Formats: sequence, structure tokens, C-alpha cells
Amino acid sequence: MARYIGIRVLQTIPVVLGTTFLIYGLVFLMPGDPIRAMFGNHPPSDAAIAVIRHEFRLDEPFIIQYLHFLYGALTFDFGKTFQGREVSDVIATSLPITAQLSFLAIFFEILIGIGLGILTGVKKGKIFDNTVLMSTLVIISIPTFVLGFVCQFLFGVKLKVVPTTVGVYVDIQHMLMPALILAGVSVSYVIRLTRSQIRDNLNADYVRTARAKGLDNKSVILKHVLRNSLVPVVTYIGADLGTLMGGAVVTEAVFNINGIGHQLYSAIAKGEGTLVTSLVTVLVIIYIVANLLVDILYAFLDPRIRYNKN
Amino acid sequence: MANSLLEVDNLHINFISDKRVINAVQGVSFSVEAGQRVAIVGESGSGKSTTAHSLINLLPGTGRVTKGSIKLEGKQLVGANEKVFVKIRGKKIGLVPQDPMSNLNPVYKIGKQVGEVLDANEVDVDHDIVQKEVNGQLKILHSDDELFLGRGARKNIENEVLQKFLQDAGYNWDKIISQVDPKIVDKLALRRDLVNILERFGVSKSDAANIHNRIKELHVRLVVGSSIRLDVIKTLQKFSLSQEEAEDLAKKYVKGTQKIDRIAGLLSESGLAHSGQRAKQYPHEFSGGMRQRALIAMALAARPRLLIADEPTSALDVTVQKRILDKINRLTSILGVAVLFITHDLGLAAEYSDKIIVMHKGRIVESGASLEVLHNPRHPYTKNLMQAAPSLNASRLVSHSASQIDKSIQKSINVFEFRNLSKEFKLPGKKRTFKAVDNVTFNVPRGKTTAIVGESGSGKSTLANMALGLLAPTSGEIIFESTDMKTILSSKKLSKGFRQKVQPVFQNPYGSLDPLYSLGRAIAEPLQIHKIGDSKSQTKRVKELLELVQLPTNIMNRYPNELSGGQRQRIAIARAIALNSELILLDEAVSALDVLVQEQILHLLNNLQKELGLTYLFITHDLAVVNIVADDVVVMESGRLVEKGQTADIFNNPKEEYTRNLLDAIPGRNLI
Amino acid sequence: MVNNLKSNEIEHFVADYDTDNLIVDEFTIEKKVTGIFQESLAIVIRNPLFWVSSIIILILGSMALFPNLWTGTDPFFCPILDSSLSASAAHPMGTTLQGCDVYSRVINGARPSLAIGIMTTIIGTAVGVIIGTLAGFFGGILDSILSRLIDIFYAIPFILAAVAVLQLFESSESIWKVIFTLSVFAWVSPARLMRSQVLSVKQNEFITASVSLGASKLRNMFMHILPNAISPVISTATINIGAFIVAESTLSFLGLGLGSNSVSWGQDIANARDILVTTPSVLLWPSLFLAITTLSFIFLGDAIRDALNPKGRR
Repeated sequence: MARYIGIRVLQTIPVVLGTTFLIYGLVFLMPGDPIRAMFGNHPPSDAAIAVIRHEFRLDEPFIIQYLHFLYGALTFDFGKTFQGREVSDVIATSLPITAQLSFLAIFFEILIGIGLGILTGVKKGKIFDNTVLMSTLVIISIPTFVLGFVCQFLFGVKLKVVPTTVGVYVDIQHMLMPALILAGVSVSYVIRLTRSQIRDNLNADYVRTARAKGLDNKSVILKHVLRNSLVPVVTYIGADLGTLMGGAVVTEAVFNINGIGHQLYSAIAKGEGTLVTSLVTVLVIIYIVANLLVDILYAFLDPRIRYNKN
Repeated sequence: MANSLLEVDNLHINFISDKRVINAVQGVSFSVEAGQRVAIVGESGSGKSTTAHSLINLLPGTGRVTKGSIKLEGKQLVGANEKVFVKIRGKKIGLVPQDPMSNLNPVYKIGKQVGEVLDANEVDVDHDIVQKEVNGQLKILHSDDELFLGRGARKNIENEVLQKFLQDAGYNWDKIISQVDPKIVDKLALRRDLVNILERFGVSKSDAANIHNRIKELHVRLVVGSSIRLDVIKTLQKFSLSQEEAEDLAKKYVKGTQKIDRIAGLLSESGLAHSGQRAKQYPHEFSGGMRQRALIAMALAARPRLLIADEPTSALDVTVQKRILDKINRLTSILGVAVLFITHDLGLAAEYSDKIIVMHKGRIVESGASLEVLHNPRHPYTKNLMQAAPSLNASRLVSHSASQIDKSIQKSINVFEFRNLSKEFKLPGKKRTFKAVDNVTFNVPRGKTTAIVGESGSGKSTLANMALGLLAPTSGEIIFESTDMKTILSSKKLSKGFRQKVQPVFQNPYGSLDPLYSLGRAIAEPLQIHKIGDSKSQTKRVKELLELVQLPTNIMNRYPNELSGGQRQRIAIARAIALNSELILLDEAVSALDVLVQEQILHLLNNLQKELGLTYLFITHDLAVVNIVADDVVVMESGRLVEKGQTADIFNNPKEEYTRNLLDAIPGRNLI
Repeated sequence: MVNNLKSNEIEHFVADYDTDNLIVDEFTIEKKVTGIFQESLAIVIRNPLFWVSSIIILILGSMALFPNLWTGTDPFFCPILDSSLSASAAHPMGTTLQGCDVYSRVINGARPSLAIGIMTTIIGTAVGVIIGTLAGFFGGILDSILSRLIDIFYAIPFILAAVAVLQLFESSESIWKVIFTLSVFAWVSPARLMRSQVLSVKQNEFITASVSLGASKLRNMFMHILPNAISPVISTATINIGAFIVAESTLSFLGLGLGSNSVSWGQDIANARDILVTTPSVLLWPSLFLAITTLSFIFLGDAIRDALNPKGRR
């Protein structure tokens, strides 16, 4: 087991290096001069620009810049924003909000996704099954922000049951609707995955053997079908944490939540390359780490994985 | 007359597929008496498994009993609700399924999965309380044969026996025990250094060693969780205790087990060594045979009256097959459990059952006492089966006449010569290598059939891949028609020639044809690759080849999905001989087929060999088939060549133990 | 032995002979040819969802190719006097805040949305199939390198990736900017799928048989492996067309799409936010068209998958 974890951690390193390199490279290639962009219509003197350029290490070769960036990322030092605020400070204040939103969304995935997945998987009711499946497809095919707009309009403006935006003061009650919207697409996938897993497992040989051993239907479903079906679902949900934090860009923009996605959104709008890189890097690393943890969790849940990888 | 254990009368079972009704079982009637061993024999699609599964209401998919009656101990099961079946399954009828690889839940430990049977069927194994007060009356809860030897109890019995042995040998037990470290007194009999300890306290070396050996022997015979009082008494008597002494000890100590011990006991009953540790492992840490033993333990854990064994060994190696079936046979006869044995192999059925029921296309064609059916089959279908079963049919297909090979053309005597051939594979993640083939030397003479026999892991498939030039040997030489394979493969021209002369036919008929290719295109593929003839002459050749393998020529534009397994193998053979090949490598080419189809294909191969002077390299696990078709046999085990020689010699006079085991494992061989 | 039944007590039963029934492995030719292609076609034709989705996609296609068939109104003709009108004969779906005809904009929005969805899928799938096939077929070091590359690209969430790439461009209204950006990451899942498909098809004995016949590697790859491996990639790609249309709209919402002066469903939905409260229909129509398009591609992909890979087929 320890060996398996070790190997997985080692395998993650090149991926982290590769992704950060990729992102940094993309921003490096950005057209235009970031320093001039920083000052808008009142550019300072060339000498002053050279000083700032040196300060941001923009006069050094790409690979050196990247290594500095990487070193900084490892020590949680991403430099300063154009306004002079520490990027790490921006992350420290906005990340918890996004994390709250994402974990709430994961809660919905578990509650609604697994719940409806089990119901449609076990029960044979055709109408219920088709309704749920159709709904998941509709949710998948509508862009998240449209769903957000519609819910804002319906529940915020028309029914006035929730505030239309969350704003600066974050309250868990106000986060419920944004989290549900954020979770929407994932919930649909979780329902479909759970359902198909259960349907497959119901026909598995070992489930028939469990019945032949004299187990009643309830025990067969709980101990054999569900336990085995949920292994891939749980790992899917775990890996989804990273995706949700990425998807938060849209949800936070719709509901005006001051999370990391919102910071990213405004950084894009302002053309602040360094900030964009730093934020995307943080999100990607969270995504990679979440995937790593899920892989390790998977090995705990399914003994075969440990064995094969050893 | 008393009721039979199981009475099936006029059973009909339907499946619905694509809105069509398929009558899988049509009016089957039979009975199983208590303790009787009944085999249902049939090919795939005969309805034998369907019949068996209907008994415990576990028909797959859309299967339904539409008519008839199933009575278990006189109680009607057709139309009974699920609750009735839940009570019957495990407790009255146990099931040993077909494929041990897929029938254990991969996420639970073996012990837990055995324990489930005890829990589900409310088998009370915690016998610490033997008596209980019920309504003011003292009730004895368990009879003697439900009380198993517990872990702690075995230790105590062994210590007592040790005392007796020492006393019998004239030593003073109390004196010895007073000197022994009190910490180990309790487990004295179990200690590995028992001899040393005894010696230290004045026991002579020979006495100590003798006593230790006998204690060790006793230890093996007393199985925790499995030995009941009576077993313990009998065992102790064998160790020179008087009946009275033995009964006293058994009464004193055999009081029942904990669940964990009972689980281990059940596993060791099924022949799993070190069952205590094994119970803590997961299925993937078990081999196929071990898994099947665990499944047998589960099926018998609640002591059912009837055991359904649904082709329990068809996924296992032959020697493992024999051990497993012997185990089922012995265990069920000790426990008095009736067996309904589902199999496609008439030989196995005859060997392991009292009564045979032969099914064909959903109906019973013949049934009767096993030996009677075997020696005196009356229905033509049974007769056909008998004739086709290689294990029962010793008549060889006299093949090949070397005289017919055109001697005017100068050709080497041997098509292949393998010299000191070895192949090593690197084990993933480890530095060690694994020798799949280890220093193997033999020849494949022209115009004859040479068989390589071995079980899984014998290296026969690796050898086949090297012969096909798909895998390079680590060391040794392969000589093909007097030329070294290395030379052949490094030259484009020579390797092209080699590819024309050596062709494979594989085991899985469903994997050996590209589903996107029409049959005509599949057969013409070798002609196209080697650019032989134009499309018109190729079509002509395809027709010729179809006639050679006895298929209608108008199926050229059809696709493999329309063909049965046997027909696909015919296409694969047609493709293999399209280029006038010299040698065909038959890699388990008939193993996946039903016996009657297998017989046809073997005859076809035999005829083709005669007509075309082909050489066959026949790779198989099935010695019975070898006996029919091969001229020479090479027996392999774990990569090594065990024995080689002419078929008749090997069969009549095997020199090696392993070969003898393989021969013994041929079912029904001793019954004819 | 518990068995107390002697063998002579077991009756020897023999059923009536029916020798016709005993022919082994008979070949029966059914009248109609049921080859693999015909079978797939027959399955797809029987599927109503295939017809519904195909017809919708054809209609949408005609809007994209020939918008003039559907409307004569210029989507950029936006007289400010017509601002935020509700539905009428002249404007069947009302007008936007700027006074543009919603109907005309929805019809004209089909082209960029469909073009982006289809082109991204084609480019992404083509690149993915090539990379996946190379990795799966040749294995070894090439596979290791390509697999790590796939891992790296896979580790970046799609939207974040697109955000990072789109910053590279000066704002322009070319749909190629969006297609390029989406394609940079769109090849990853097809590559993974194709690689695993190739690996599993490679296991088949007909491949080994073909090698033994002397077929070259390339022949094997193109004649056997590719055709057998590609069907799930095709059905997934069809489903993904919808996903890319949604992705384009999301980018537009984030201000990184085609730009606010262009016509596309995503852009119009993004623009509709400001007048959502007063004129919800401005949001409704482009959203509805987008959702129906996406759904149609999902259904079409499902239908193709069911036809190419019916359960139980070998």
C-alpha cells in the first residue's frame, strides 16, 4: 500500500511540472506588453518601465522566469498583483469561499446524485426512470450560466426566496442556490453513473452467488450491489472537486461571489497575466492533488487496485 | 413411498429475446433422492443450466418457469414467492457456480463471504452456551454433530495427549510440567522447540522426537471449526487412547467454536490449506482452484440437502478439476448431501454420479444409472455423444500417411526443430525474471501431428508464439526447414515465405475473425497480402477453400456474426490453408467447442492432413484429444519439457509422475 | 455412503427418436443478409430518437448554411427605437435592448455555434485519434511520452484551460480563435479513448492471425485495428459537438468568446443578462435553441453508439 501511494505521488510530479509549464508558457506568449497594460493610457518613462520589468523578472529568459515562478509557487509566493497586493493574499482570502461553494456542491452530488442514481438503478419503474434520465440530459445540455440566470430570475426576482447575488458577506444559506447550480451537471453525471453501475452489478455473477447463498434481497442490494457500485461513483465525486473549483469561475461570476473564480474572472478582464497564471496554477494543483487523493482512496476501497499496482 | 428430495415434473422454461419466445426447457421431469448424485449432461443450449437455476429461482434475465412443478421435500416451489426461495437457498440447496473468477465479490475478504452464509441462514456457530433455560426448562441446544472443535480446545486436547504420551513412555508429567516456564505451559504441545524442552527435562532424544512427531500428526488431523465430537473421538483412538479416554476428552473440550473458527473449518473441509490465514485474504489473492474451493465451502456452509454444481470445473486446469471434483464427491458423501452435477462432459458425469440425465435442445433424451447409460446408450444422441467424447473414445483418427507426401521434392524431415529453447520475461516492477519456457528441445516431423500438452502456465502458448515468429527466444534456436529463424526473420524474402508456410488457428472462435470482414474477404486476406492472383482467381480460390472445409460457397458475402463457433473455426482453417501452408499451429483450436462439433472439426483436420500433407502442431490442455489426433506428444510443465515421445508410448507407459497425473485426470478413463 | 439407492433401481429412460433433430452444427442461411453494416443500419432506423435528432439537426443545418431561407431581417439592424419589444408579427420573438430582432439573431446564431461545435470536434477527434492510435499501437517509449502528454493536458480543467489560451488572442471576431482554443484541449479525451480501444482490439486473435499471414504493421493498423477501434470514438465525438457548443457560450459569457459585436447564441445569452428582469424572452430563445441543439447531438450520439455497439455482439 505504502509503495502504491509512493508510486502515485511520484507519478504526479511530472504532471504538476508539465501543467505549470504549459500554463506559464501560455501567459508568456501573451501578446502586448503587460507593463504598459498595467498603466493604461499613462505610460511611464522607458527607464521606469525597465525598473519594473526587472522587478517582475520580465527581462530574463523564459526558462529562468518559469523556474522562479515554480519556486515561488512551491513556497506559496506568487509575487504581487498590479495593484501591489500579494497574490498569495488574494488566494488566501478567496480560496476558502470557493472551497465552501465546492464542498456544498459535492454535498448535493452525494445527496441528489447518488440518491436518484440508486432509486433509478434499483427500481424498475419506467416512467420515473425515464423522467430522471431525461432531466439529467436537459441539465447537461443547458449552459451552467443560463441555469444560473433562470434560477436567479425565478427564485430571486420573481419569488424573492433567495437573494439574487451573494456579494461580499458570505452566508451559507445564500450559497445553497449557487452550489446547486454549480453541482448541476455533475449531479446529472453522478445519477447516470450510479444507475449504470447498479444495473451492471445487479447482473454480476457474484450477486447471483450471494442470492444463492441465501441472502435476502435487502442484504444483497446493500452489501453487494451498492458497495461495489459506489466505488467508482465515490472516486468520480472526489475527482470532481477539482472540476468544480474550475467551474466556479462561471457560478461566481453569475452570483457575484468573491471567490477564486471571481478573482480569475476579473483578472482576465483586466488582462493581468501573472495573476491569471497564479490562480489557474493553484486551481490545477488542487485538481491534481484531489485526483491523487482519490486514487489512493480508490485503492482503499477496491483491494484489487493495491494488488495490481504493487 | 417417501417423497424424493427433489421432484421435477414436466418443467417448461421460456426466455423472451427480441420479442421472440425461446423455449429453453420443454417438459423436463426427473427426481433426485436424498444423498443421490445426479448429473445432467448436455451441450451448450441444451437447457441443463437453465433447469438447475430454476430450482432456486435464479433464472437470468427474462427466464420464467411457464409450466410444470418443482417439489423440494414434497413442497411445491413453482409459483412460490421470493421469501420461500430465500429460505431454501443456502440452507436447503447450495450452488457451486461455473466461473470461480467472477463469482466472488472482489471487495470482501474470503472469510467474510463464507460468514455471510452462516449469518443469512441463521446457522448458530457460537456454541459457547450448550444449554439454555427456556421457559424454566433446561434445553440442550445442539446435538453432538453440530459441535465443532474450537481453537482453544484443540490446544488443550493436544496438551492432554502430550501428557498421556509422556506418561505412557514412563516419564513423570508433573515433574516436567513443574519445571517448565509457566508462561508456555499452556501451549507446550504446540511449541516448535518441544523436543529441546523435553530433552532439557530428562526425556530421551528419541522419545522426545517420536512424541513431537505424533503430536504434529494429531495437530493436522484435528481441524478447528470442522472436526465434530465423533471425529475427535475417532482420531484420538487412532493415537492409542482408549475409547473411554477419547470420549472423556472430546466431551470435555469439544464444545463448539467461534464463528471465525467455523469459517476456517469450512474452508479447510473444502481442501484449503492454512485456512485461518486464507480467510483473511481477498479473492484476487487466490488462484482459480482456491476460489472454487472457497465457493464450495460457501455452498456447503449451511449444510444444505442438495448441492447444485453448475459446471464447477470447466474454467479450471485438468489436474485441478480432478482434485476439486474428488473433494466435492467426498465431502458431499460424508455430509449426506445430494448432488445435481451439471456438465457437458459425459465422462465426468459417469465418474462422479450415480444417475445420468442426458439433455438435448431442452428435452431429456435419455436417463438412467450412470454405468448403464455409459455402457449401453440407447438414444442415438447419447450414442453420438459417446462416440464424440475423446475421453471415452479411444479410437484414434488414423491420419496422415507420410507416403502420400511427394518425396520427389527435397524437403527437410522436420518442419520445426526447437533446440534448447528458452524465453524469459521480466516481472513488472521487479528485477527478477520469469522463465516461461526453459530449455526445451524437440522436433516437429513433417506430415505428422505433434501435440504440446500442458496446463496454464506450462509455457505452451509462449512456445507457440515463438514458433510463429511473433516472439524472439531469449536463448536457443528454432530451425524451420533447415534454416534458423533468426535468419528467416531478418530477411524480408525469407520471412515472407515463412509467413506463407506457417499458419495459426486459435482457440476463441469469436476473436479469430474480424467482425467487419465478410467471410469471403477474411479467407481471401492471405491471398491479398501476398498478392496472389487477381480478384477473379481469388474468388475462385475462396470457393475452393470453402468446399474444402465443407461450408456452402454462397456464404461468401456473409459476416462472422451469423456463424456458430464451429463454423467460424472452419473459416479460420480455410484462411490458414489458403496459401498452401506446410504447417498449421492449432492453439487450443477445438477447446472451446461442444464435443459433437469438436469431433467434426477433428475429422475435418484429419481429412485435410491426408489430402494436403499438412503438418500440425497441436497445442492443448486436453490429453484425451491428444490421444485421438497426435502422433507425437510433448508434455510441458512450468516451462519445462517433462516428457516427449510417441503418443501410444506416453499413454501406455508414462515415465513421469506429472504425465501420470494428467492421464489420471482424464475423466471416465477407468470406466470404459 | 449415505446413498442407499442401488443402481438397478434407477430406471433407464429413453426418449423417442427424432433423428432430424440430431444434425450437428447445421448452417442455415437466413434470407436477408445481416452483415455488420446492415445490422447497424437496421438498429439505427428503428430508433425514433435517431430520426427526431437527425431532423432537428438538418433544420439547424439549413439555418446555419442558408439563414436567408428563414429570415430576411439583418441581425445587425438594431434601431434603438425598437428596444426591448415583446413578440409581434414583425418581431416574432421580440427585440433586444439594442433593438435587434431576436428571431433573426437566433437564426443567424446557428452558423457560428454549429461551426464551432462541429469544427472543434473534427479537429480534436482527428488529432486525438492519431495520437491515441500511435500510442496504443506502437507502445513502448512513444506510448510513455504520449501518455504523459495526455495526462498533463487532462489535468487542466477545460474551462480554465480555454481561459488561459484565449488570453493569447487580440480580441477578434473570428470563430477560428475559439475553434483553435477549444481544439487545443479537445483532442485529449478522444486520444485516451482511442488508445484504450486500440489496446483492446490489439488483443484480438484476428490481429495475431493477420500478423502470422504476413500482413504489415500498417496494413494491420489501417485494415483491422482502426476500423474496429473507432466506433465508440465516433459516437462520443457526436455527443461532444453539443458539449463544445455549450463551451463556446460559456466563454462568451466570460467575455472571451466571439466578442459582443458578433452574433452567436452564446453571445446573445450573455448579452441578455442585463435585461433578464424586464424581457426574459431575450434569454429564452437563444437558450432554447442552444439546449435543443445540444440535446439533439447527445441523442444522435446515443443512437450511433447503440447501432455500432449493440449489447452482446462479438
